[in-house]
Amino acid sequence: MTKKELKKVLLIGGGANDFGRESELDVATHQVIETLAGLGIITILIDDNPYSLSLEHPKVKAYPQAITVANVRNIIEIERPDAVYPAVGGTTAFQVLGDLFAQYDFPNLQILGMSLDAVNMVNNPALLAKRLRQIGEPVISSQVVNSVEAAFDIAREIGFPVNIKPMAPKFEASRHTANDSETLDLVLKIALKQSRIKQVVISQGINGLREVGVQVMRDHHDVNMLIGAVEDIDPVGIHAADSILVTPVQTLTDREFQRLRMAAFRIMRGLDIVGTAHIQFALDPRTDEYYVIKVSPYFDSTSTLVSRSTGYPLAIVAAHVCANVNLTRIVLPSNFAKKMAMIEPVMDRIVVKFPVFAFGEIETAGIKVNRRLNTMQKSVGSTIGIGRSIEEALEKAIRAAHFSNRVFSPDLMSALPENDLIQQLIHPRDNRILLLIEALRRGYTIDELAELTKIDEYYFYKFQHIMQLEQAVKHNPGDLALLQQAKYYGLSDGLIAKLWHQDFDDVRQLAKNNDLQPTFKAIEPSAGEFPEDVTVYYSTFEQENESERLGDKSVLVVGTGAFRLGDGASGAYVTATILAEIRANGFQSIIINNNPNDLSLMIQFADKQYIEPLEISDIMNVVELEQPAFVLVPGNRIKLIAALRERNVNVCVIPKDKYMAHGPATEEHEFAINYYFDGTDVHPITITEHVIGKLMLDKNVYTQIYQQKIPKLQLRDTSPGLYQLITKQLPLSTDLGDYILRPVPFGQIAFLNKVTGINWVRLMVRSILGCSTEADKVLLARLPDVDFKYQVAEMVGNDTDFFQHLQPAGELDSTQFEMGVAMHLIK
Amino acid sequence: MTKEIIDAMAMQRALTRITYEIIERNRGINELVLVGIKTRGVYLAHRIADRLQQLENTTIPVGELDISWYRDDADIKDREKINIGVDVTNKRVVLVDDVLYTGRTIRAAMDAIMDNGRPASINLAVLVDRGHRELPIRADFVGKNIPTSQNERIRVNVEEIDGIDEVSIG
Amino acid sequence: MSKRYLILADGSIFEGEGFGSRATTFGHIVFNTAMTGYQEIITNQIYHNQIIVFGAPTIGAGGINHDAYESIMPTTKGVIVRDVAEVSTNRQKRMNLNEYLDYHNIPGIAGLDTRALIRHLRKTGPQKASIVDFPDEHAFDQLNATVLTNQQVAAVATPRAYPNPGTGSTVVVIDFGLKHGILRQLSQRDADVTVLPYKTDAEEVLSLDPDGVIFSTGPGDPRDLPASVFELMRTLQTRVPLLGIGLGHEIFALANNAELIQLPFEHHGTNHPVKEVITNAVLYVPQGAGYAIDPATISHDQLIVTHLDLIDDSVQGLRHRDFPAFSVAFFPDSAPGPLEGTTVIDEFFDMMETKDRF
Repeated sequence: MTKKELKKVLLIGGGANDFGRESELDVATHQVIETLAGLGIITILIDDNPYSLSLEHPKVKAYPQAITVANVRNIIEIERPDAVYPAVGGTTAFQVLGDLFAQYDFPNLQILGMSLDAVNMVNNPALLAKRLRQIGEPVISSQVVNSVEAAFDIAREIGFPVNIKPMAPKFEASRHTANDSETLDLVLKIALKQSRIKQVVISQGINGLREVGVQVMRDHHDVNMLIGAVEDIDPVGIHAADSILVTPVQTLTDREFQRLRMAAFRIMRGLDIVGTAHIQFALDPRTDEYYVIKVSPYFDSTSTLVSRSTGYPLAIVAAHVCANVNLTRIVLPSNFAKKMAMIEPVMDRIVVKFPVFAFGEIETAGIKVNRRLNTMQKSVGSTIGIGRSIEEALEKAIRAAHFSNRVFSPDLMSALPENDLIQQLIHPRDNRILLLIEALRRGYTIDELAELTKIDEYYFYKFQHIMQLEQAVKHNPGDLALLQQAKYYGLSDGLIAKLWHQDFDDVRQLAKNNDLQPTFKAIEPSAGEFPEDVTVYYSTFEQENESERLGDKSVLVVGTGAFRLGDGASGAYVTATILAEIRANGFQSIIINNNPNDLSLMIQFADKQYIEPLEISDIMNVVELEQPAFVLVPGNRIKLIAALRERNVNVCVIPKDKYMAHGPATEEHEFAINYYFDGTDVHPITITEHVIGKLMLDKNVYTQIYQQKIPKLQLRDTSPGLYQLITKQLPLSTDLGDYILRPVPFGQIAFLNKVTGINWVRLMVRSILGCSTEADKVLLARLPDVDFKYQVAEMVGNDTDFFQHLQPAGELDSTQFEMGVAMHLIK
Repeated sequence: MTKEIIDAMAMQRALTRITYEIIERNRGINELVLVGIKTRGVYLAHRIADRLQQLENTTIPVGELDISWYRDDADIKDREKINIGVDVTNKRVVLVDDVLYTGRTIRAAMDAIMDNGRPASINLAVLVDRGHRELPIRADFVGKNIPTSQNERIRVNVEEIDGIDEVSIG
Repeated sequence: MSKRYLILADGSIFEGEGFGSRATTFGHIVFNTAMTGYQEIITNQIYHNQIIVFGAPTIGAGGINHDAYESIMPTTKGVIVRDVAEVSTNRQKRMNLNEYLDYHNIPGIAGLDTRALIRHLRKTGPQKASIVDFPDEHAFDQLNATVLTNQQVAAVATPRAYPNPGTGSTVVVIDFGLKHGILRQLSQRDADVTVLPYKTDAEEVLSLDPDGVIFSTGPGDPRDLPASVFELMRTLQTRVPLLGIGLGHEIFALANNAELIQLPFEHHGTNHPVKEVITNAVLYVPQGAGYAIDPATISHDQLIVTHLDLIDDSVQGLRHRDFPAFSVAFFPDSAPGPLEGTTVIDEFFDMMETKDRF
């Protein structure tokens, strides 16, 4: 196909959030829209995720529809775009695009960044493996068999361990590993049963190898560059999303590293991919061999991790090169050094990504789950810790993943029986870091542990250092030299206070009195070589502080941290919207957050970003430096709010409940009357009806029938925002005592924003800041008799395969344990 | 069985080296004209011209020559003057072809050029010299010497028409 | 470990924890932003009399490996880093970085705010520095009084010839303090190599009947080298295919009437894009130079600019107009660093293969 001028591009979104799909696609989409608009290219976006901020981008033509072949085809017929860009929609977009082109011909539609062949290879691992072999890249040998005998033939040939995966499984099935004949017999039986066509794929087992991911960029003139590389502390065999990740790469020699870099470039060339891709390798350090395990020419959580960690504007650059702009000609926004787009990023910091699991929450609800980590993703979110050493970054990441250090207390494991310890060393669970440190404490040698766990000894030296430091601190209360060391290596005030049996304020004060103050360092891609106008910072304890106070009119927003089960991605949506609105009202906005996939960390939304844990001491460090006019904190952080108020911080609460509420039981209906509280008066908005896995809104029905009977709600001593009254009874009672009052969950706010066409979050921010406009007042006075953008709409829980991921012993409430939702805008 | 003997990178390198050698040999690029022999020689000539443009910021004229009717085995009466699209009189002509084999093509090409004017000199650049010459002709610039049997087939692919840069034997 | 200090000629003091040797040393201070390859960097003789600041936050995770030396006797004067890894020494890793530096009498300072230091150096530029136990007046007096030798090549280059036999092309390497990476690249291509001291004369070189000659990397300012070196270059370039690398590139340029300028900001790292002018291709290459060729002094009649750094526009490659002789400022042996620059070595071999035609 000849390349013609690009005027109009269709972006295929990623749909509902799920395991392995946080807001990273939305983060990329938003920047792609902005970048293409800057190049004079019109964008169209199809997506049905109510938490999508990109759908609200003023420069995109949004189709809030389900991402299906029929819908995409229809949009192509209407809009006649020159090109379609699937990289912003992950695997969903690739599947739909593959199916679309299999059924229809679009002679004038190009796929940005790759050929249809490459799309099909992404969708079909066998095709990809074939191509990789053709270009001489090693892949894991695998074969499809339909009998136990044939499988054993293969196993005899390639040797144990082998992995077995059912073909065309009845549900998305995980890989089984067999180390011996008995296990192979067993897993073959299971896998053959799981397969609809009674076939399984048998492949060479590579568990225990080292996993390294590289993020590369390539332009139309075959300029290839390496943006970043990420190393899994855990070996192959634990899903990358459940692994602890480190960037930059630590344990590879230059030669090993450069080999992977060149391999990645050959793959980009061999598949003719333009733009960015994340390529994963398994590396055998003993034999120096490597295998390509995955090629992802789309945005994913690694691309956002690399972008956040390096400070390199990955999505902006990818959008440019896909629009035929050479890497050498890209003009970046003014805050980047002039030629930064073509400089390979270097780092003078360490970033550790730590997975967040929801086992605790689920088990609290009385449902047992399988905590053992394997090739199927179990984590529901992640956080990053940034520091100048592994120890510091790791400590900060752990702290960011767990609001309270209680769950990661160093003494937690001391009672674990020896047998369990060994079992868990071999079959790791979510808490393995504590386990590894406990094993070191019990005198296991580093060589022994490295052998047992296949984790590089380098990390054990780091764990050992943390353990020794904790022990030393514990046994020397008040020791200043140790306090200095502890801070330098990332131990928190809270942890030190716990070890010393002191109040954390005393620890803070002692540190302050002795000039042990945090210093903030900029996150930029040149490691100090070029002066850059950067807005993203992290803290450490060193000589130079680079962050200066913004000014008198700043507002600090405390982010929602890692995604957990519940309306995780909506937290990102709401926080980013809050930041944007703060700026729109003449304030400067500052965000403190630590989820790499979070929209709120995009530099477009705030004047300053602090990537930090969200404990009280971390927040106070920023508060003391910035002295913001207000600090906005989500209402679920009850202790934090109290602690900040105790310290005379001007806190405004963003209404949010501590826990996600239960949804209605099967067959039950629940009704929510939603109100907007402007700080003085309460204004009814609309009624929504909830059944299991679904929320419905039909403006006419509910408003007409129940308008007269809506109870008069009065609120005092609480923040402006959205609240709802919940009942199971119809007709509606006028007695408030028959209802449960709660803040409207963020997810429902996002949905209401999209359906009503009124941005309630922005309205709330204006109420909080005292910046309400005349138009706001007029609108509120007219409620609920205002026109909604859509009259009938639904929000439906994503069909998350919990069984596959977590193997729970009972049904999971899809409202309380939501992974993602889609919206249907019906009328 | 075909076997790749020059990959894309090596082909690029060979053209780059030939370009530098042309500059060295001619002590510059004054009065230089490239004439590509159809089909693949033309693309190679353009690539050399692009390289010269990059280095010297000067556009070198590229002529094209289809010698299928010019071979000495064709009937002499059918010979017509072929327009190669560039003026060669008093120019230093570099003929460009993909493979040098018997030399008959080159001889025909030289005849065709002579029919078009009187060049100051003619040099020959080829990507592959596979031997088996039947005429006293040698290339001045060679990408790679590849000894071959007469039964073997050398195939030069160029990205412009074959989608890939590669020389294979088989 | 105990407190040690890095002091700069401009009067600044940086504090950290000493590792490696306890020696007090003086040197020029440079920073390198490469994220891998600490062993190769430390053992590269271009860092003779230099104190290296690593931008990478931690180094040493892979210990010291037999196949990553760029020289046997490193002559760097110090290693400054935020965090140095402690790893055990076993069969693969005979030494860790701490032991290695101690063995070679090189001091290191860890736990230092290297980012602040690099940002400082960005503003103040190249200068002398010293690693000391106490940053007192005496230490600064010593630093100011220290005159660093300008005979750096003499200190690191081989005094006598040695062979590195192979079965392929015959290559003579003129040693100015070469990186082993160059020899490794030649070995991979089966070259039959003889390394000669830089004070060799042309007859001696030609008597070995080489297919090609390489002028190697090395430390320091080429203008401090004896005139014979440039004479050697001028003679050899007309006789055999020739490649200059690093210092060898600067010699090639000076021998052909170009002049040198000191870079306002030295770039040591592997992340700058370099354009190959003839094809517009972009390579990422290892670099480490304090000097560059002044483009205004390059005679168009003699030299062609073949490579340009796209960030600072410095000349990264030259080629002689009349002879098969060329040079690159970067390190095409890629040890450490991206491998795409090794095509320069391939080009040199192509050139030797076809030299009979001249």
